[in-house]
Amino acid sequence: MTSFERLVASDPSRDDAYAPRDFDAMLARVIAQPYARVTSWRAFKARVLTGFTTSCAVMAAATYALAGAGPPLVRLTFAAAPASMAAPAPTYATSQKVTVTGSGFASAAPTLLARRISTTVPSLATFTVMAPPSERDAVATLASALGVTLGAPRAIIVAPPGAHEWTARGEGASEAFFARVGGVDLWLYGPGLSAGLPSAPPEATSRGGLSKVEIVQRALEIVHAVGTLDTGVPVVGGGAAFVRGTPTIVVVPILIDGHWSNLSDTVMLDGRGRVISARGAMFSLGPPASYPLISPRAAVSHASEQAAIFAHAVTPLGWSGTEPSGAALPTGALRLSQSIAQYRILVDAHGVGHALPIYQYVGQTNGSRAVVLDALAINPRYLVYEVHGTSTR
Amino acid sequence: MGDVGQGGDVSHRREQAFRALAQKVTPEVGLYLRRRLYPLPASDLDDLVEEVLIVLWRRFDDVPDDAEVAWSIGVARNVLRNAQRSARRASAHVARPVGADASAEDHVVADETVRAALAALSDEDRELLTLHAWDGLGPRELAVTYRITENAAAVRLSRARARFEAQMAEVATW
Repeated sequence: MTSFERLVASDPSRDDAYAPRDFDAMLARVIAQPYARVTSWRAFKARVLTGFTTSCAVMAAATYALAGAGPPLVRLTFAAAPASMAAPAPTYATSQKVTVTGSGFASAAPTLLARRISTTVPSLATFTVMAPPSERDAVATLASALGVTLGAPRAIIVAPPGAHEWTARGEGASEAFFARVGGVDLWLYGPGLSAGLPSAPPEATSRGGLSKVEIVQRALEIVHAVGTLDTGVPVVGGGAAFVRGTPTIVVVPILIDGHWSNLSDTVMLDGRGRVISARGAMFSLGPPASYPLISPRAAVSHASEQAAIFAHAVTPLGWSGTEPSGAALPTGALRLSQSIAQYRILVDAHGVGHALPIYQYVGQTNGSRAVVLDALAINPRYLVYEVHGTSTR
Repeated sequence: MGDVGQGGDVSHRREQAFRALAQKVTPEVGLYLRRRLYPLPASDLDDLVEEVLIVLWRRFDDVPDDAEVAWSIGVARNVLRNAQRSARRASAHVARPVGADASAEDHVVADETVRAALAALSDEDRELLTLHAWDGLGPRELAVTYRITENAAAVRLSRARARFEAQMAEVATW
């Protein structure tokens, strides 16, 4: 898929149609207007929006549901959790505190955001997301794929929590960075990740080297050696081939049940096919389970129950464009007006991630703050909420 | 468009022709506005569409026969800009609105790489590209929307695509 095709695929209204609520009445009003220029027909309906983005931090425990025909579905128990989403990570001896100066993980949040998914179907697959069982083995696999020699791990004192830096010596880079976050192992390999450590020397530009096709093939070999995930068509960028020192960047998107996720394996190689830097994610998906879906309107009615899970500080009033626009909202209430369905990873109490359909709403509070709010899109009979040790539903 | 004749039935014929035009362009205009509505609430969408239709009704004789959708999207573009500008102006004394410095596309594109690449483009490039990729406007239609020549639209589009490709490669790095 080319970059342009990817842009086309990202159309937020790609599969939508638009029809006014009452087109005939709209046309009647329009035609009743005079031909003369009208400068201010539309009522002033400004919405004062400012906002904050809520963060979610969840734990879940699984019990089995008894209801429903067919195979029993895992009943998910969600509970409010501390700020950290990091799964328990092994403890290594730390001889030196390392400060990450540019981890590159800012854009690799431990979530999978598939592009807008259709929720018009009665049920949708969910997946268990599992990091490799052993961090050490995972890093060894990574080192082997990249062709580098692995050193000892060191704890990272800067986010993400539980992250480790592993020294790795290769031709083109000198360090590896590894984090187990939210059921997914995120890794980053490249020069100059940590303060005080030397970067790989810049290579003189000169002619000679691999063709673009060969470089891309080399990148794909690395990606396939690192993981067994379903991947999309690589996106190739960067400088021209044949010029050593001019990097070629190959981005291989990771697919979730055919959906584009916001995770990818990215490899930057020089003109000789040597890895300059790379990053990606390591995890596997369990067999899909098909959970019944509920509508955005129905889901938001359960958002209050999930407020602690998603750390929402407001009480949802409802999801609708039909709410009286002038009605006063109760203190702390929230009126929601748009929703997008997407996949996201939530982590259960055992450190197991689940890729679940979630509605993300945009709305406003009575204080006119813009708010982004989330609610699980699956039928609540398959959900159990535990807040501070109290189980409900 | 719209040489609807003279005489006593002019109004009726104009009305009928306008209804046909509205039927044709409303779905496209609605989707164009919905994609870019943020930070305005979804409940404003129908109002904005209606405002576009009012402009079309008022300027019915100016709408080109062979590019009604592109011309209507040009109108929608101005209507949306005015509405968003008004909302920001109204909120300025209270709080800074979400998206004041960002495009609506920043908030609706789920593909992180595409979103980052779009965000790195100029407003003009971003708008041109999404009109092409999402709204299906080619150089000829873009020329109508922007009131420029088709050749100029093709050149702008080509350059915007090149910059987008470069940004897609750039945002993949760290």
